Amino acid sequence: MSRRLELRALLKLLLHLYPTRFRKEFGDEMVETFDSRAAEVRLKGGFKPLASLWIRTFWDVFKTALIGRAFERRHDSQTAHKTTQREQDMISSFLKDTRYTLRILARRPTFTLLVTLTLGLGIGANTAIFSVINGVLLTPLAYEEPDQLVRLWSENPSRGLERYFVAPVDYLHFQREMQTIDGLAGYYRTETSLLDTDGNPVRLPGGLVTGNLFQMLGVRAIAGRTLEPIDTEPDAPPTIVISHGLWQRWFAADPNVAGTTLPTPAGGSVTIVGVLPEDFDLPGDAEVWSVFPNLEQMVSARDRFMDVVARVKPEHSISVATSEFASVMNGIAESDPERNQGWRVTVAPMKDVVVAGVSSGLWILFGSAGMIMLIACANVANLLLSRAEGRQREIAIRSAMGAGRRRIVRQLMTESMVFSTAGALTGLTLAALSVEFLIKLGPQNLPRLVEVGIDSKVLVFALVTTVVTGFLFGLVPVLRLMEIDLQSPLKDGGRGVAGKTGGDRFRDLLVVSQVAVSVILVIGAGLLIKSFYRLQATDPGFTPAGAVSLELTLPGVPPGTDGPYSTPQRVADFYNGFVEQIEQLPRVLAAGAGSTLPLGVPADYPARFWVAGRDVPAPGEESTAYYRQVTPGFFEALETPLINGRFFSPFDRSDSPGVVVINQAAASRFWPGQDPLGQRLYGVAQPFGPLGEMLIDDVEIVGIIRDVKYEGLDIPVEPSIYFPHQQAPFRRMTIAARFTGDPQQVVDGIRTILREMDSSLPVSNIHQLTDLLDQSVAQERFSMLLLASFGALAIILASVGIYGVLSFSVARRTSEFGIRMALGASRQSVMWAVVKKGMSLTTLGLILGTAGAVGISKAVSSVLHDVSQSDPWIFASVLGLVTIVASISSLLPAYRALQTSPLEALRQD
Amino acid sequence: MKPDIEHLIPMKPGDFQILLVLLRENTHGYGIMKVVSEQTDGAVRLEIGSLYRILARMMDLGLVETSKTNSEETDRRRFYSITQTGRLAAQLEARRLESLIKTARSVNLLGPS
Repeated sequence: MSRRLELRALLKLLLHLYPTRFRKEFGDEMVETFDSRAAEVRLKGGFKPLASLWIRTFWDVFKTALIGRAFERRHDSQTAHKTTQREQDMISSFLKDTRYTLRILARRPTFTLLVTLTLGLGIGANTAIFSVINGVLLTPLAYEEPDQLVRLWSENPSRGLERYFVAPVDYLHFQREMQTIDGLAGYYRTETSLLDTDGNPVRLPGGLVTGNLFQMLGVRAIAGRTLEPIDTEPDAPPTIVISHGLWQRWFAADPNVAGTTLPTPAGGSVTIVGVLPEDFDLPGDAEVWSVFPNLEQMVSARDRFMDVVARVKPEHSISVATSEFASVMNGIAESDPERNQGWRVTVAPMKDVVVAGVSSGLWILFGSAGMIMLIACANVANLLLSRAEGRQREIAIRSAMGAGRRRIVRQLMTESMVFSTAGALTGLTLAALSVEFLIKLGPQNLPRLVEVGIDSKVLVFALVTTVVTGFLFGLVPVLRLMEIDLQSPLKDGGRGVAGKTGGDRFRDLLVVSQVAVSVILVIGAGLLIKSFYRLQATDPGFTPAGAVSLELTLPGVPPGTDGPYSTPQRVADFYNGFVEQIEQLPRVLAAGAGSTLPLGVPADYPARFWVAGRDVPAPGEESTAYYRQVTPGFFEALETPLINGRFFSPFDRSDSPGVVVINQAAASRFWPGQDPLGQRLYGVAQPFGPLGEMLIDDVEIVGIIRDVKYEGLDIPVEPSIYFPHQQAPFRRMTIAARFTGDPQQVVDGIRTILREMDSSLPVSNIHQLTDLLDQSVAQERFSMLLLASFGALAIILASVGIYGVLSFSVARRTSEFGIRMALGASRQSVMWAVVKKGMSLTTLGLILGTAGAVGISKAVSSVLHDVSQSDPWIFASVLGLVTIVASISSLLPAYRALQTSPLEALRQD
Repeated sequence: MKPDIEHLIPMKPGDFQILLVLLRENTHGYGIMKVVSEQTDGAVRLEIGSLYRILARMMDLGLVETSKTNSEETDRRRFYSITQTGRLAAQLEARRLESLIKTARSVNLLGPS
């Protein structure tokens, strides 16, 4: 949605190339026509047709605009505006300069192409990364007055719980008592079962929300209405709103979808009242939203499970609201000390929360893109400088014929502006294309990715970059020119002078800094690449290859009513039978069920217990660990190794002694230096609401397993306690099956079994474990790939720089080399003279770059995993790589110097 | 401005193509692009820059004029129609092409007729 607007913005900017009269008459129409074309192409889908449409349009507009300009001048000559003489002089000399520039550039196409491409790459890389930063970090959230929105959490530092959920009873307290806020709303990530349009039961990620959530955020439905307080009335019919994605998938974006009724697998029905905008993402990946049942009467009203957002009144600051939240929480704690022992509230601006964790990575990428720009500018300055000196004769002639110094300076500045404009157009095209590509490549969990695109802010950024860089590299030859006596080139007949000039020194400086900056970039890229491979090589505690998983939830029933899964025993029996049948499938090697899949949707949370034989802790002081419920085959299906003791067996039933298995992290946290086997835990039976129940309060540790990475490969493993599912039957489980052959066959087999057992049960989140692993490192891979390509770009640009400088100096010293060789200098010594120069510049660059990298690598250390920021191997191999590339770039010009025939060299002038 | 029609002949292929579309129906820019692409099986692609450039020139020459929308639709796009002069010019161009084709046939360029 938003991206279309932004391509428009780019087109609108391009239209300014046209004569004003033409633009006023046809501009809007052209944009609309382009929109229709783009819509038509988008409908067919695919990235290529859109890119090709864009390139064709871009080129066509550019071409016809230039032609139009030429015509306009003829056309308007009679009706010239009343401009002052001075203005006209300026305009006409500007036009003359531009035309002159275009003429001389057309005469040297390779040079022009090289400069344009170098600048285009620099500007393109910067604009693309800036557009990501702009979309993710700088664009305000798509809510009304987003700066007034805050997130609210409970926290309990003594139990290691930060940013934990809020209990409905506390929510109601805040709602009643807070004075500094305009509203408070809550939501909860859940899953909703529906029958899809073909009548198959499906489970969709969903959200339960308070009736005021959408109004408080200021989110409007794109069709129908959002959920409102009236939907929470006791006699209101069940209503839902759906996501933009679901609207397109199920209803082909039917604008009249509101009012449609969908059946649920349980036999009821819900009415769709509206569709939410594409960028609405609370909570996470939800596709269906419905309202909470009455919060006050909820069975679990005292359990902490809600996400809460609040809108601070405009006249109050967030910090004032924060302290009021804290004091209200104190009041709550006083009225109910037992439940609130050790609990506090934390508040943070919504925006910081949304992008937490990605901003440092993005800024690093942006800094790297800036370095690319520096290298590109240095290259272009170098090229222009070399050329400016080659043009001394031409400039001297112009000045001899009466061109003032100011006029010549202006001519040179015009040249660099023409270059940077051409570079900007190339860069913007590259950026527009790569943004589409970045969005495709970008990790799905990069927040707000849909908001990335080229908008006016990005265009302004590109414009400023262009002008600044044009000025920077344009200034270099101009400054050089100022030092030169404009007449002298005519006197010495244009023959190259052998001595070192200021220009040489400046060029050397540019090369040194290019090498230095690319060393910094490549070291950064190297660190990230190594970090990524370390991350991927991390032992996740299970074997991802050859296993599939899928999620299933048995419907809960209100207490006191009967249903197929109304008792814990029935839940346990169902999963028992289900897993047993899956194990019988051909090609299935092992199968099991667990409450949470490693690297999957996190569903477990820490719960408290205490160790038998130790002092009974005060309430709130108990030890905590993640509680995870698994069936006997789960560890075999994941291939999680047993360290000591035993796995669960089918005989660990509700009527046999309570047993648990713990992970290594729990063993070392709670029994450091001791053997946990045989130890007993107390107090494990706690309310888990509709999820399930712990049937036995007192359990014995019978096994220790390898640590399994649940949250992410780079996140330290928390202590976990595993319970046999029969002794702790939970309704929502993830089935994992290890197989050989075709995964689809296995999934189909599991579906068939389920359909026979209960055709109303939908499955969701079907994955291969390898995909889950890939997704979990998608963000790191994204940064690594981008930085690696920046590093490659930097090396290429820097080697072009070295090559350019040396070639230039070889070309200028041709006659010198000729004389030397005529006087008996060996070919080796001539070659050495060139290589020596290249290598000394490189060495200096390497030293400076290494020093810079040591300083800057602190910035990347926060995104590194298991790699030291001063990893000696990375430093050594990068220095080696840059040295090799630099030697190759200096050998080529040196080789050319060797080809010099003494006679020809002397005859040259 | 009454242009000398003879002056406009031979016509540029793009101009002629657009006049042919407008002879059939009055339509907006997007419509012209679509019909041109359909009539030529996608061989001729008019991009927006060229299209409006040509339309502007033909309006200056009095071959094409704009009309408000053909109905009271909310469509804000302008519709283009061919003028009497435009019709005449297209006719002349067609005649010229016809006589060229005749010549081409007479030397069996297009196969035995």
